[in-house]
Amino acid sequence: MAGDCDPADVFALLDDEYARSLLAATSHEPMTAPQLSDQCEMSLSTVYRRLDQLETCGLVVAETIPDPDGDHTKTYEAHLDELLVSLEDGEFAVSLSTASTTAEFADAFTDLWEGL
Amino acid sequence: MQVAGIPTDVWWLFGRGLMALSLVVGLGIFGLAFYGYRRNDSRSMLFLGSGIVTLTVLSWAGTVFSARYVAPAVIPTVSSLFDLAGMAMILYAIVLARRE
Repeated sequence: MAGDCDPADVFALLDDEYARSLLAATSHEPMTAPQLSDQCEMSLSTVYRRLDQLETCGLVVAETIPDPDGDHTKTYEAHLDELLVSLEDGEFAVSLSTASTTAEFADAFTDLWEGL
Repeated sequence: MQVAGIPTDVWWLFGRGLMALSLVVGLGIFGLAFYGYRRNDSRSMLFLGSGIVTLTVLSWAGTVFSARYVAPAVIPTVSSLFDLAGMAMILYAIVLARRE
């Protein structure tokens, strides 16, 4: 199960163009809401609303970075590698798999080799 | 008998240990390369991993097999064939990496 969401909520989120843009943008590196607002060309309130929904479903993970000045920065990163939808006994089930450390090593190795 | 003050039995064991370690590392790199190939659909990574596993595990297996079941005189030939095949695969992986 993906986070605390019903499969229908996950489908609705993935059907949403804004949510998909945010997922794609945060899949490369953690980004703040204002950065996402600039890059994805959407209002800050839309960004926050979609990020909140994505976070509830476990598709995005937020991390608060402490700042010495007291203004803490919150970054968001896509926490989605594969989404498996299965239909059993008339019920949909959504299972979310996140990138493991091994997968990250394998990707880094591929990038390194292909970048030579 | 001793070499550098260490009994030959210990040297033999040490050599076997290093060989086992190189096989494990070779398999580990192959695993990562194969995972990279599956995830990124990169054929270059498939050949790189295959080359490394040929140079390490298959070369070792060929040597052991030829020493036990064929003839010790054949060992250098078998070992060189596997090394050549492994290096050819890595070379092809480089060519593929440029193309992809």
